[in-house]
Amino acid sequence: MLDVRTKHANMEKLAEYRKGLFRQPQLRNLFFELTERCNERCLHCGSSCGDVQCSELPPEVWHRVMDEVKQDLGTDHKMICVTGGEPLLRTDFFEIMDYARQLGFSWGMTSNGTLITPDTAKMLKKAGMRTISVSIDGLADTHDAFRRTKGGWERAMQGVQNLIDEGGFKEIQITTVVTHQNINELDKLYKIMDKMDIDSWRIINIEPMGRAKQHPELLLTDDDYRYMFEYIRNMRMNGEPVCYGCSHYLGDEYEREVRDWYFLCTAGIYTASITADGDIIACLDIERRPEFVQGNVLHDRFTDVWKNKFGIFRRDLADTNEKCSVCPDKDRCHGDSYHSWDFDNNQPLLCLKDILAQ
Amino acid sequence: MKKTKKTALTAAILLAAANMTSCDFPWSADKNEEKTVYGPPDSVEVKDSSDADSNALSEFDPASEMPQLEYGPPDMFSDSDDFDASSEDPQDVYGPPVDSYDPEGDDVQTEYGAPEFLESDGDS
Repeated sequence: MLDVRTKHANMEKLAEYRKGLFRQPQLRNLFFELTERCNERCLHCGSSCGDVQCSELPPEVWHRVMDEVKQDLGTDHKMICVTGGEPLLRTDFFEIMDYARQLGFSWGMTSNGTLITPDTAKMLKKAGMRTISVSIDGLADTHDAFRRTKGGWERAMQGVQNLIDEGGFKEIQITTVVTHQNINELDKLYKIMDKMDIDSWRIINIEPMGRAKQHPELLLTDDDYRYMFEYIRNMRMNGEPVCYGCSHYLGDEYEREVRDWYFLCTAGIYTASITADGDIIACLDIERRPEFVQGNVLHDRFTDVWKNKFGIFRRDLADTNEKCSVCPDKDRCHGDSYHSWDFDNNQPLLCLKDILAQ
Repeated sequence: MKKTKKTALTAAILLAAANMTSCDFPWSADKNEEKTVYGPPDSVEVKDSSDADSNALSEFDPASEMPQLEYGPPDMFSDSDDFDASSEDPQDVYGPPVDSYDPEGDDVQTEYGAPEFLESDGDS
């Protein structure tokens, strides 16, 4: 384990930095949820995406938002992150995102990979995509069952390979959502991915949100969590480009060791999102509650909302909970990720610090 | 998967820390106690267990970027504001104090998550 005192000192600095971000938020990640439609039906989908009726913003609205951000905040140090649903289901996808390239924005996307043909990969590069994360949630049978898409794994892997063959992207990443059912496949998955020229493998845990709430059999046990984090750390010790995601405070043992940064929930201080129907929210992973909607791009200037709203996110969740408010890790955890806070019962849904400390 | 100078450096530092603390399992009985080091390890090994970017690894020499060998803070460490982790590689300090923070120094964040501050970007 890395020196705990160094970790504590750095996390204290980060806590101070975070307080400063409450006063001076810095937009760094702007998520565009282009659609809620999806050609898969993942059991764990936090947004319950699928073959749904979804009002979608036309390209000119997305263009206007990008114009506003460029005019008021600039394009430097910002990443537009395109997501969905499956964003490539939009036939006007390139009309929307090539505009980002023209304005000078860096952008990346998440995708299930099934629609990434060689021509699509070429177009993605031409439109200026820098990074992409493709979901692979187990070996073929597990992945297909989890995502309820026959042949999905083959198509997703081929999509990744088409991106690799095209080349020229800053980062091609595979993301695996670990569940109780696929956790034993990590080694076999590694052997497959090790033969692919991807830049990184992101391993994250299933969250009890969206459709996953209806599938408790998928949720990780405490032992599963411990195994998963130890697995990630061991992979990194072997020099593999594996990392955990951005969520959750992990405690002294694993902070900074399973990812290249310390925990910081950036919702509303670094990160904002625009949903498929134009609502301005903090993070797309956060439960869609009316009080979290800060505005709508159809009638609000995004940058005004970013500057003047988001107060509900620019505070410490830990202060609102009796147990968290007296926790010695309070200033490092600050109530953990916003998306995993139980706002009905005012408590974190998950305290990995406690689980991993056992 | 691509191995880079960055992943090799991360591996070297984690491995060195593990060798020093002998902390293999998170649920070991004394995992939360401070460990003492009885001398530095003889060498820091970077395992190369798969086809790696040979150019990146051939240029990387872990001996030239030794992680902290003595358990404990660096010589410059104090409990005051003088602590500066910027001399350690990779940089753990998560941005400078906010009052003097200038985002001009940040690069575009390509990983979704909190910023990652590295002294140099050795990735291809």
